[in-house]
Amino acid sequence: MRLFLFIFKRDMLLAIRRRRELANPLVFFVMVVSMFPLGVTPDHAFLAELSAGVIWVTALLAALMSMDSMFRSDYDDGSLEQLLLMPGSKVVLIGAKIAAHWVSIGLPLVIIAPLMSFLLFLPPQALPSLIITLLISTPILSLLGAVGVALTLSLRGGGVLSSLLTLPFYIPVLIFSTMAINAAAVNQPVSGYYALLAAFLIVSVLLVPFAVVAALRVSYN
Amino acid sequence: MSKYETSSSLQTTALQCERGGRVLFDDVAFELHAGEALLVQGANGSGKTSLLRIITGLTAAIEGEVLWNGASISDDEQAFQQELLFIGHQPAVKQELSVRENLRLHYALNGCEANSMVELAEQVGLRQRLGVICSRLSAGQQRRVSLARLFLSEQTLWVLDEPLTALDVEFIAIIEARLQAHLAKGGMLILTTHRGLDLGAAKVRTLNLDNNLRK
Repeated sequence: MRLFLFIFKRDMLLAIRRRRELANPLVFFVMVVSMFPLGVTPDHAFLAELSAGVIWVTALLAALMSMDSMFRSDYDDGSLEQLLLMPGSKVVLIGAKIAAHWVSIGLPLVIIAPLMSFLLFLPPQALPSLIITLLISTPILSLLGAVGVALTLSLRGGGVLSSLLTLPFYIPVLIFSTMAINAAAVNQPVSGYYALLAAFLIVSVLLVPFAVVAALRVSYN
Repeated sequence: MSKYETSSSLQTTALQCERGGRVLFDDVAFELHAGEALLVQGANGSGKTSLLRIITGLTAAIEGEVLWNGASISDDEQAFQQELLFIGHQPAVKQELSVRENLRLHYALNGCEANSMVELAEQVGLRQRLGVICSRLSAGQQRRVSLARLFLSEQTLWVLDEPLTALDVEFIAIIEARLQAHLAKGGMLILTTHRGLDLGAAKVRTLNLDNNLRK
């Protein structure tokens, strides 16, 4: 627990110092979503139909953009190897890094997404499900992204490869999340989707840190 | 944290390392006991850094094993890492953080409380720079921030990769004194350097990787 807090605090401090880098995915998210009414059509009904998909795809890509920052600078300046050589559980260490990444990238996305949903006329009854799906699923995005990034750390231009590796695993999250929001928009029951997403989250939380530790070992060889 | 286990020993059995399909070195075997230093020498690209990384357990050797007190380091990783201080080629100094914040991370990495920070900064000659963001420091000053860990360390085995890069003569003398004190207390030291280094009365072994090249 002390190790978790130490790493978490360290990464949060670094995230605050790197505000500009941190703002990038958020600015991307806001820009893309706000371009849609301008570029496609300002028609309410049409945008409302698109809104869940647009917000989710954009949030997903914004999260994907930010994945590289999770380990890259620590790898480049040698801090990551120091952390790995620290006595203590490597799984906890990785868990803390992923948690810090989610708080600095995923959580801001969850917070501004409802604001952006007004731009796209998301039906008000679907708003809670937008927030809930984002809350459950953005940690999944951070977790799965960590595996891809860890595997490709030592490669030149690993960013592209890790995106390609990660994207297929994001697809189910995207499908169930947008289905949940669309179901909520027409007042259909949504708990089934939440349950599936939550199951996905639990499995990722339990397995991903181990996978990342193994992937980092591969990267250091 | 441990306090210099003088009964400790480090041993390697016929290490082989391969990089990019080429065997860098083969059959590297040595033994190191309390109070001894190992100087790893070799031309650029002969695998000095790779050897040090294998010793720390960051990289796995193709063949051979690293033994700490007779047991493979992968068997009891925790016990080995308790005793290990590794300072690599990259200084592991966070550019976005101030000297003070970086030193605080050192304390945490070494598992001790940050209660003598000013003293530590004094020892590495950065007392006036505590509040400065590290990206504004010179390469030598950043190296000093990184080497501050030596002054905190109570680990038995120090593995240092080119620790003297970018340092001025004055600070090199300070580091030499620190290394000598470490060895005198029964510590172990493995380092690479292209520069002569005075380790005092300690027993210094030399390992020249150029001799271990597979012809």
